[in-house]
Amino acid sequence: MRKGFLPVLASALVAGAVALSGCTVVPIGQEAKYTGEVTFDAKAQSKSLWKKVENQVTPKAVDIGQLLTDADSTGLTKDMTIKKYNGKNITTSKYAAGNSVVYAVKGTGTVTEVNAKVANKSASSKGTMTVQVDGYVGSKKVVINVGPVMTDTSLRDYLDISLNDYKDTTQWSEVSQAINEYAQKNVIDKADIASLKGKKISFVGAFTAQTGMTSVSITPVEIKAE
Amino acid sequence: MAITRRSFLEMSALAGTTAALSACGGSSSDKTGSDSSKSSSSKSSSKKTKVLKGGGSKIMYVITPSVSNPAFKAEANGASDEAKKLGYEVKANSHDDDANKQSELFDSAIADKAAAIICDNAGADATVEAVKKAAKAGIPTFLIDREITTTGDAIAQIIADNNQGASDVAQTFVDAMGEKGNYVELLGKESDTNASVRTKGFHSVIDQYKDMKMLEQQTANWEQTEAYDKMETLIQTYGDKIQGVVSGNDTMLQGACAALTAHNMTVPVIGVDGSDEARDLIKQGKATATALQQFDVIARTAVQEADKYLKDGSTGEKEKQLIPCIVITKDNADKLNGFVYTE
Amino acid sequence: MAADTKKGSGGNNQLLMTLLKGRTLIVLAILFVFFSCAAPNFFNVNSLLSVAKHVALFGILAIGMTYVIITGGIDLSVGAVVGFCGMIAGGFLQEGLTLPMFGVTIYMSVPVVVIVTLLIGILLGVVNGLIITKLGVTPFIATLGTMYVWRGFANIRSNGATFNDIAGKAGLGNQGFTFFGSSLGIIPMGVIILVIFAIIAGLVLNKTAFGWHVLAIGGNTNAARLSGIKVDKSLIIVYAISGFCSAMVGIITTAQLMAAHPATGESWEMNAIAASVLGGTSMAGGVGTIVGTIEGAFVIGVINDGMTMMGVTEFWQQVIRGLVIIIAVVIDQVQRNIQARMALQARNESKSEDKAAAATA
Repeated sequence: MRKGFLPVLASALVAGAVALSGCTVVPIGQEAKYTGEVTFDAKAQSKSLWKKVENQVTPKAVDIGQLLTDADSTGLTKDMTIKKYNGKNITTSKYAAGNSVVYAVKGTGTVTEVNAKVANKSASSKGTMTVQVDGYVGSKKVVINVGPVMTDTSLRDYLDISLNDYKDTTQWSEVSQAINEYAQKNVIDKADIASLKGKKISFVGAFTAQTGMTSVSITPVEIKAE
Repeated sequence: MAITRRSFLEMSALAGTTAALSACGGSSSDKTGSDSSKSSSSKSSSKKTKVLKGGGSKIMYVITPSVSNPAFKAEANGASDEAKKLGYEVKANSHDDDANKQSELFDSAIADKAAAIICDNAGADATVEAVKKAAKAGIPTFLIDREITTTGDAIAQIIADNNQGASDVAQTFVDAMGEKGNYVELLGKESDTNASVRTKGFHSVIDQYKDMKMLEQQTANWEQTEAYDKMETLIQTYGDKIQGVVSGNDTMLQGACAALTAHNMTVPVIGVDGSDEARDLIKQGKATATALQQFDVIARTAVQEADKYLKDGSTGEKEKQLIPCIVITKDNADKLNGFVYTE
Repeated sequence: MAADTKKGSGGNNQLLMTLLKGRTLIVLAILFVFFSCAAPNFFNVNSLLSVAKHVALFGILAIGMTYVIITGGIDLSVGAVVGFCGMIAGGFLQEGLTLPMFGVTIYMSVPVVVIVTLLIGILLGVVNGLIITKLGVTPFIATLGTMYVWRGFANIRSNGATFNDIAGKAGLGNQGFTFFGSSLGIIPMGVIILVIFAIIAGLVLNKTAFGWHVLAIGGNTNAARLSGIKVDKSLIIVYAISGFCSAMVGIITTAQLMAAHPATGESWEMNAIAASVLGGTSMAGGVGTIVGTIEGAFVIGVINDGMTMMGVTEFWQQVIRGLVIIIAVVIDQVQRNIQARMALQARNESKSEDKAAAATA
């Protein structure tokens, strides 16, 4: 029995010998130095992504009061409205249901309610701030997403980047999370949301429109108390 | 004795031979970071290849996971139906989520001089080679439902937005739970890309709520009976502590709901797929929501683009096209039928 | 007169025997003709090469399986070994071997990865053999158990994920693994390896004492033991061969797919067993040839690819595959019965001749 294993042992030794000559020994985590490859990290790109947001969303933002007033008669997802108000159709198949259009908007209004953890402990974590928009008297409710939970992808979807620039949908969603986190830290948290109730604000942001929706929720790029 | 040892030596010799053979392709090991400049970026969309004419026949291969799952059946039927309408002969096959079997089916399609391949693939990474192989033989591949990790190889990838579907339905789940409570999760087959995409999608939402606690995560391999068994075990372990169930697909949702019903428990349960079975459970109040993947639309779109590509040399669309998932709740359950949502 | 008629029937029997013995080849020929008519693109060089490439994978598995079945055993773990060894090779190529205590990751060159993977395959086979011989567990149960264990480890290795950086990186000195999935001219590497393995395995089985031991153990284990054959040792080697073949298949399939996937090889053991049985290997042990097994593997491969190209649906393919296996075994039984009858007849004849000779003397 024992003798039978000698060849195995021998092969193992041979393998060991070859191993010494045919291996690259790399300190842990230093592979990039040898291969020159970079792993994807959306958060590391959040600054440059935000630059894109500022350069592409803000300049194209249309007056939300006008847009909504107009859309109440024509419809937010109609080609005419999309064209007139710089909308971006993120539809990929005309046969699929659930298609949507993203708009970059700006406006002023009065905050009527702050439904967020910072103002009210029992509020939803997916906090919102309701705004009575100047120049709009229609039935659509307008809210601004204020987190800390934000799942909206409007900001990302309005940019000139697409899923085709990334490896897969997981990376694509990480991009949106990175943008939203940046907005949370640098826009929402700095605006002192809790104190804004009843005050007049101006804002810039983006929202996603779908057929038949009754409220508009904007992810902000800028919030200013006036 | 001597002979047996010899046979062992023969085996080692064989190992040696193969190793030596392989060395032909191997490169020396003493390179360091010298050629680090040519990094392989994930963005490879710039490599535009020539237009693929198809293999010459009028046959369209439709390759999907096992059609014993109604979702993939809807997909295979949709693609076959559309292709027949456009005048193609259809050969529909299932790879059973075995990448090797899928590769074999691609070989058959190539040998059969197929005009195009419509494929819901068996693994993002393992499919790349098969698609390249088909392209080399002049056959364009149109991927449906699941994506692959490269661009520039397939002509189009019509993807169900699993990530969005999972996170949207997770939001519905969190709302139904009142943003707090204990839940358990049933995972799909671990080796399937969508299992991880979906669970990541769920947690990208749920984990943002501090009062949501996951008691346990168990894999039920996409299967109904396995989900039933796992759910029973979880109920034995945690009992009434379970205040919600997150399930990676609708077949597992069915199993989980059956187990909950058997124990007279009614808690929020969510799934993904949008099967008629899940729709009925939602209507009965036994399940909360599911995210519909528009399998029929996806399949038909791919076939239409394939037809257009073969005729015009272009689909007129970007390669990766996301088809949104639609959250199905009690409110809109009536609009769902056979994976088709009518607004 | 009586002797003449007997001889006549013996001649018929012999013709029948030849047909039965060559049945796999005959079936193969029929299948070829059938599919060539039914699927217009089936009979050309590229199709046949792709059939051969597919056959190579479970053909190599079936070679190891044939050895095991000849000893009267079975190896249900081969598919799991394929998956596990694929993950081992893929993992070494993509992630290297990290040794936290030294703070380094070792990236092996491709030949080393291949050797280590093959050694692990052999080791897994030895474990099967030890469980069967030393712990006295029946092969079916032992390998059923290890099938789950190896499959579990394959998943644990990457937590269910796929290793997809199989091509290696110049900076890490581990390029070249794709060699096993490439082609030499137009002949796929898997086919070349299949041919090499089949020739060696066939020679070992027919021309060496070890091969004779394997056949003897399958024929009658106790008799083999009494005649001085080291049964346990031979069995362990046989299972090691099966493990080695499985590891090789793991390497080939990983290289072909350019990705290692933990679920690879699920239910491949069934194809390997079917190929052996179709090729005339007896599940009772003691009987079997490598040539027969390769023929059996081609029968399955041709049926699979032919039906796909005919457009037969997956579910009907399953039905047909099952029927083919059952029919093959039934024919096998018929052959055995005829063989037994002929042997009996021959003995009776020689006896009566002896008697006749004795009477005349």
